[in-house]
Amino acid sequence: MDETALIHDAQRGDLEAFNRLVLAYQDKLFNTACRILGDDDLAADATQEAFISAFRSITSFRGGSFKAWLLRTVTNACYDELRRKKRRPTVPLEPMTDDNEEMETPRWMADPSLSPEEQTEIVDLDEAIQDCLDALPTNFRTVVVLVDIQGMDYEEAARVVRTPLGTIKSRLARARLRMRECLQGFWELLPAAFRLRDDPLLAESRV
Amino acid sequence: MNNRMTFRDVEKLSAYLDEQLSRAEAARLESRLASDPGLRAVMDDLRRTRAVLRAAPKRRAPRNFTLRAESRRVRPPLPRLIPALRLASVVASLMLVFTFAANFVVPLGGARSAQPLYGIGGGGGGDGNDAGPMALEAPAATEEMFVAPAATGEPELTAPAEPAPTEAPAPAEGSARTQEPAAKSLAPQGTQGLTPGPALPETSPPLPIPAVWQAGLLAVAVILAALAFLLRWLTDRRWRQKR
Repeated sequence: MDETALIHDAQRGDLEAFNRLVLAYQDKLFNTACRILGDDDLAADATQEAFISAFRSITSFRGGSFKAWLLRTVTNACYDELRRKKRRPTVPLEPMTDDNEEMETPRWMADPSLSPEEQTEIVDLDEAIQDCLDALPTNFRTVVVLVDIQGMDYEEAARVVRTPLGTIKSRLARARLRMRECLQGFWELLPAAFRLRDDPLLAESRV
Repeated sequence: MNNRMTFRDVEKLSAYLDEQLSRAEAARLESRLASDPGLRAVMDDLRRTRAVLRAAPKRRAPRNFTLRAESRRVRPPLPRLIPALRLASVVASLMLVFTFAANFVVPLGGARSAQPLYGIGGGGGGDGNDAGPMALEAPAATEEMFVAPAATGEPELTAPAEPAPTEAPAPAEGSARTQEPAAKSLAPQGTQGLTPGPALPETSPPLPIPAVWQAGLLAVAVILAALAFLLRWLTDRRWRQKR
């Protein structure tokens, strides 16, 4: 796929070209929205809004990283969702069954190629991470999602959230520190390779 | 080595993990890490935390988010020419409104300022006509007024170019009024209140902004707006056909 050509076609109104870009990036955008919002329904709404907004304003894309440009769009959509969420009752993280009960293993996590134990481990890890992310302030959460989960570098993240590089560094360090402390509470849920030690020195450096 | 750790240290450790420190800063931190087990332990924890986050299960989109042209919420991108056309049309419309306003206000102002002229016996008759071709005739009017020293008595007007027999303010000498074209054209304004005789022509003053200009502006505004609309329609149509 020649991304530049697709972007150019999309800028001239070619919806098909834009939809190919959507298919290429939708998982990334949805995953980012899920981590920021902590809710897959809201994340789906934000992702859809982000793509609509991106198509409307694609003529304003002046080159550079298209992924970063899309992630900025979805981040803005997530902030909009969070503002709306404040005015609405909270929605449970787990999808509901037809009987209005939370599903233990959400459909989006089910992977038939994994054993039940592996699936459980992944679900536990995912929940632990999401719980800790949800406990972070939105600004910290966004930065840690962009850098540590999406693998962006500092400059890209700074462009996405339109924040100076120094602020990105600071927010990321604080977010990692808090995540580290929070994940201690899920110690037994983490895979052995990821288990963190309880270091008393860290407590002194709390800010 | 002291074990007092500040947030600045944690920030540097975090940046060091991502290779975001300068060489000099990295070298300084590495020497500290070599001698400070506490600092090393914190960095190990930050590294593990980052590893946990990087290992977070990736969630896949529950459905496709492709856009459909039928959706009312989706419209093709706006060609860049359209906003420019719209802006130009708006500017032309505003200018048109301004011309109407100018044509309405200026004659009113002229009539209002012309009123006191009669009250002072016609002195300074040129002041009331401060716009358009009328202004050009003001000197002739003032010269005309000088010849009636008894009536006006203005000391500063001491340059009577020609003691013309016109003397517009004096009704008795109205017969000489038609000798000079300049005085003739000015007569409806300078003498209207005093001598409403049939000899005065009923000419309305020309408007500051000609109607041709207004028609031109109107045409430009309409044509540009129509072009913008047409371009938008063509873009929509072509876009739908592609679907």
